[in-house]
Amino acid sequence: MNYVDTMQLLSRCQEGDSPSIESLVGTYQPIVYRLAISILDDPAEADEATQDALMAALRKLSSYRGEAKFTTWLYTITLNVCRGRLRKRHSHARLVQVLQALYRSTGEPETQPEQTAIHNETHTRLWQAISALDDRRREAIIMRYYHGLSLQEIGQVLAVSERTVRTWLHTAHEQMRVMLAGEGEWQ
Amino acid sequence: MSAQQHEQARYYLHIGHDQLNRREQAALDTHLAECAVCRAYATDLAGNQERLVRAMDVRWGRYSPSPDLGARVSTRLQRRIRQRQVVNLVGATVEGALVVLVIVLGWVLVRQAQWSPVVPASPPATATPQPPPPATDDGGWAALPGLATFGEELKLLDFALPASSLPPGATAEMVLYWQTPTDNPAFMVFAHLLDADGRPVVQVDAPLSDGACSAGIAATCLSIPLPEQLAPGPYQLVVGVYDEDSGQRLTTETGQAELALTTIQISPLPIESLPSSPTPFPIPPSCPVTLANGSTPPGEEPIPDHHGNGAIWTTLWPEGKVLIPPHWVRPDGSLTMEWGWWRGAEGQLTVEGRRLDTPLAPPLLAELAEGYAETGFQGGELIFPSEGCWEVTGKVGEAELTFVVFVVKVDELP
Repeated sequence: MNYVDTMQLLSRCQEGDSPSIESLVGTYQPIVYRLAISILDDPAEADEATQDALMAALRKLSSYRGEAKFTTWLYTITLNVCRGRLRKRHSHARLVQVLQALYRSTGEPETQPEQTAIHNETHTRLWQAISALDDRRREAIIMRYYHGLSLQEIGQVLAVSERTVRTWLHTAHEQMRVMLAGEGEWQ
Repeated sequence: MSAQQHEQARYYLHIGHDQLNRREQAALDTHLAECAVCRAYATDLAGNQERLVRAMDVRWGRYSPSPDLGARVSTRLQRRIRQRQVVNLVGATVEGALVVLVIVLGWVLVRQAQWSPVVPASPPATATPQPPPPATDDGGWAALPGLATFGEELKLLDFALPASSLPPGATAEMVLYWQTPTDNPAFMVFAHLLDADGRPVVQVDAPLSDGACSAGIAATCLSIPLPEQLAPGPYQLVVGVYDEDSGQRLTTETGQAELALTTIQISPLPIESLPSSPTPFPIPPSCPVTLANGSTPPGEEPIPDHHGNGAIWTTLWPEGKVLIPPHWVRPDGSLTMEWGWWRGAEGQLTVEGRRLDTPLAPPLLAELAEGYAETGFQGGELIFPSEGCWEVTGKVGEAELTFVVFVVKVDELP
């Protein structure tokens, strides 16, 4: 959807046009969910967070002035919703626990070839290294590599300067390199 | 090849090729062409990043929003719209009832005024001229942003510390600006310089205002003598207020009796004894450049170059000099520099500036990047029409931050 289409759709949504709202929700719910699952790491909670984020976005639609990309604006709202949920469940401990338990878990649903790959030692250590990062550096890494955001977009979503994002990415890589040093990777 | 060059290359690789500017890309390409170790690192890094992406995709990519999520959002939305309609209906009904009530009361009062006999002992309220409403304690200054409020009404608006890095034996001069509840508050201000262990190494006290107070605004000048034997390093400057009569300290909104204001860096050598190295771009004494006060914007990593006042922040160049390399000089001769700002309050950032050493110079221009959140960081470029001594002011709503820089063209950055 190009810029003009998006702005027209948003304008109709602001007027309360139901089909436009449904179209907006249908168009953007996948990317909102994708961010929510990557932050919350819980499919059910990501579902609820997606609802909350879309509702919040529709409520705040009048504050969107078209200066940033709409998806960046939506990312900011989604991230705030997810952070609120993480705070509620004592985020850090929970996230570390989830990530650390990721490969100890048993009885996962259908096994796919990729899942087999992820269960190898290398990926386990990779995940442990990511989980050891602080929240902001982990968010920066996830947004950069999983969501493919530019440094400027990450800065806009996290409300920090591009220079700070650079520093976070660099130090995140360095920390991961140190953690994985001696194990034949990331060094 | 120095370790610093390898480190720099690794930094660029971590940022990612597609996120570097042309100069950085060129530097990285040149280094990689000559350095097999860094090329190998780049290959490993790319492989690991690919594995990282794949791992995340496998973990999270298999999930998708539940099929009825859109319907649930629509339902919630419709419910909200209905609730709003009900609220609006109730509001409109109440509003209508109030209008009717006011009309009826008005009619009753008019009728009473027309038919009631005048009672001399109690003249009608309108017969007595009412004094104008008393001015509020903070009058027209009520909206001023501040760093902290001591007690109920004494607000610390800002401070000025011209030099944040000083040698032992020097005197740190600072000014505190207050919004006061009365014109002559009987308060004393104290400033303590604390070492790394939190122990005070210098303490000074001064009256909050010694007569220079007017219209609810006061300034406190403090001279903080730094002992000769003070060890080099950062020292925290805290300030507080106490009642002159009782000696009781006033606390801030957060219940603290003192406020950590900034850090003063004690330099290892007295300025006079520093080795005299030729300064390539000397600043004229008439240019009162601003040195960073170290005030860190919320959410940022502290660095000494941060400068701010609790409402607006920026990053200043060391020594107050802005060095402009050739590729930042525009065809029309104007000099540009990327400039970052942080906004503590919501609002549109505007930037203006003027040359202090030549009043006829055209004013500063600013191109501010859009798309940032309503608060926090905002990037952009400052465009100095010429070299010289520039005063720059950033404004957000009522808040503003002013600093002075000396702008000079250089062949290359040191």
